[in-house]
Amino acid sequence: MNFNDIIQRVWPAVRKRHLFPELPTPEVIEAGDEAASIQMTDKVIQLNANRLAALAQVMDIEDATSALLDHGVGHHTVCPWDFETHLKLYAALKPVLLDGALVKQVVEYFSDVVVDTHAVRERESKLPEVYRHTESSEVTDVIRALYQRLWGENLGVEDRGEVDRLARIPYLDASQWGDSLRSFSQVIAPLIQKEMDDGNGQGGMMGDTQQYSAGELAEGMAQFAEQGFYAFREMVRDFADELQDANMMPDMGRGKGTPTDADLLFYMARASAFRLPVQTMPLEKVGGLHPHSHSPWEIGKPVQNIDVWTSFGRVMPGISQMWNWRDGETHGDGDGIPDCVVIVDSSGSMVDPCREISHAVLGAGCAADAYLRRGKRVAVYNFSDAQAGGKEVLDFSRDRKRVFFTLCRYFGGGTALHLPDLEPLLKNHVDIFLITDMQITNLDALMQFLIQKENRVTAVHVAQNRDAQRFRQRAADADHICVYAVERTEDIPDIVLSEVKTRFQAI
Amino acid sequence: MRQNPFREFDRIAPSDLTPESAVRVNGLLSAKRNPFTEFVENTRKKRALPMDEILASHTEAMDRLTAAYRTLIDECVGEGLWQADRKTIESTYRTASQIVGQIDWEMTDLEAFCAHALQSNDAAFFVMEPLGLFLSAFCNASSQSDIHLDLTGHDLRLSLMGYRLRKDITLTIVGDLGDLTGISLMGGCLKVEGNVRHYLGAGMIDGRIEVSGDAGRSIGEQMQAGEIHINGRLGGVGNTEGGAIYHRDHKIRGKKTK
Repeated sequence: MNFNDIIQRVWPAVRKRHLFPELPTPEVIEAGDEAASIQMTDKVIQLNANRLAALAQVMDIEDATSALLDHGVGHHTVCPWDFETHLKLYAALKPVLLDGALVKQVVEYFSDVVVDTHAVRERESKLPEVYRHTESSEVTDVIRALYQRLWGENLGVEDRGEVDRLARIPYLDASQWGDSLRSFSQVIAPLIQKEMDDGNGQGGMMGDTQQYSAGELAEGMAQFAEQGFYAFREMVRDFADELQDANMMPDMGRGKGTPTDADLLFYMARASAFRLPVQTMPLEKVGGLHPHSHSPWEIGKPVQNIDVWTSFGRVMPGISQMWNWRDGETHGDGDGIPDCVVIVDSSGSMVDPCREISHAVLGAGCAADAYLRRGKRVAVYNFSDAQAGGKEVLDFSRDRKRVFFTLCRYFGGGTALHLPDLEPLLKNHVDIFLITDMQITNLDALMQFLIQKENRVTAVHVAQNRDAQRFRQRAADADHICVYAVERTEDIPDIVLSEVKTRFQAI
Repeated sequence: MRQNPFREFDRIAPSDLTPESAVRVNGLLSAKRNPFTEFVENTRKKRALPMDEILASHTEAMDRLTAAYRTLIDECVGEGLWQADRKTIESTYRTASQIVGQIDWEMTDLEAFCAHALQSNDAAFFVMEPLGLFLSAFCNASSQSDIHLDLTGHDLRLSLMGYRLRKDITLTIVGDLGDLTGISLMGGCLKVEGNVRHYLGAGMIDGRIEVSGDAGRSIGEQMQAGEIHINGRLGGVGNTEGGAIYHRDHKIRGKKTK
């Protein structure tokens, strides 16, 4: 029996029933997870050949294929729909159950119930026939008994007491999914926990069907990052496999002061939610020479410069007038944004970004993102006591992971900049973004250094103190330095990068 | 005057809406053909499932219980504040018992009602203190001897649960509870799989209270008889008149074990 041919026959009808979801043609896989009827890779629904063959013994194979596809498609079109919704469901249950693996399994079963009920109710699915021949287990029997009650079909299982509570849940009301999931878990979680303890948990009625694109994962994580630092860290731990499969884990190494993958992902995800504006500056010199004034033409001077109108058509030394040319002063339309050097303070007075949310790292990440998003390169100078080796320098790069990795490093200890380190980075009139609490040993030298430079400087202080006040006063006279204060996450969107008096900077 | 761009489709008879009638002009569908025909064909009635009746019945039960609770609030709270003093508790419980006797309810509705009350934005539930008494009245009116309520997943802690729990009833509550849990217990067995706040089992007449988690101050204040067992941390024991209080296996108040 060629299952691929059957899929080719059935798939158009399934697509039509589900209002033409944007999914590639499903496939049949011979190997894979034995317990799963359906798996997904890169949005391709993969049906288990062994399971199809088993179903072919007891029901029409086209109906079986169609039903399994209904289930797979439903996860894309109904529940969870995308990773963001999946994480919302996870977040609704995580504080209650705490165990990430258990939460994921409960969410899996819940979304299965939603999808199957939706398919039976609104898509004329043959799923009841499939569930008549599903292998028995403690959890699947309760779910099948629930289906029996909800759908009014005999699925060949005994009624269960738990169903009284499960049947009252409004599965198809997406606005109540959070509360519904909690009610669902009160009944199902202990049963799943028991199966997991026995090593029998299969993760859903049809196996694991959650497969998201990298874009969905990034979008979902950006939204979830608003839940907070610790919740995000837990989420990354719980979804490590999924993120690893999608190549989302930074995996940048370990060591003292090195951020964990979860911390990096948090700052990357959180920063992507902010879109800081960057002031453009003229980068293109146009106009060249233009005729400015007249002077008498003499022999030896270029004939082509003679202004025939004021010379009355004659070429005579002392009488003919020639144009004097001068440089143009216009800048043209070629406004743009230069590269940026992000200088971030990671001394002991700053918050360790791996222990709690660091506004300095988040702010620096947002600034770096603003330049990277515009195709510019970012260099990072992360310092504490730089002269004693407490520093990490990343040369200009467009690699977002490396930029954030360098930003998230935490050194602790004293605070002193080694200004000669910055010189090689500040060529070509790049922008400077400095974020610190301003409690820097050589702050005066730094101020003098920045005032002397012509680069546009955005300085952000994350604390209100005397040094920050001093920096503000000194910077007030320099029209190429603007200073912001960030004390809360909400202050970050107010930053306008390089909002200084724009000057002509030809590069 | 601007024309409705979809007006042309109004002229198309339903019989034209078939794939066979599609006329292609330069590879595109002609104006005669509604490009959304396939979706029109796909419009099918939703299958009626028993689920709809179950949900309708559930909604009706919740509405009925909500209305009953609103009546209790109107009668016992009115426009003022509800304070948990002895007189108010007794009168509120009396009213709750009367209301419970007047409505149709099933024990299976009760847990769903707890969740509904704790999640609802209904103004009736803005005053939560009498809810524990309301639920206690249901438990005492129940014909079931073993009642199980799961209140996990909610931030609010219900107070006054298990008030006057009568003999022969075992009430098991999963989740954290508030103040005055199990007060005036009348021989029933109250099991709490979670933490409770202050005045646990205050004034209990007889029975047994088991708390798997922590308990706050004044445990067993003025209790006359019965046993209180606490497995977690203790805030402090109150002035008892009888009975016994145990912390894990260690008796911390009372003369002899019943």
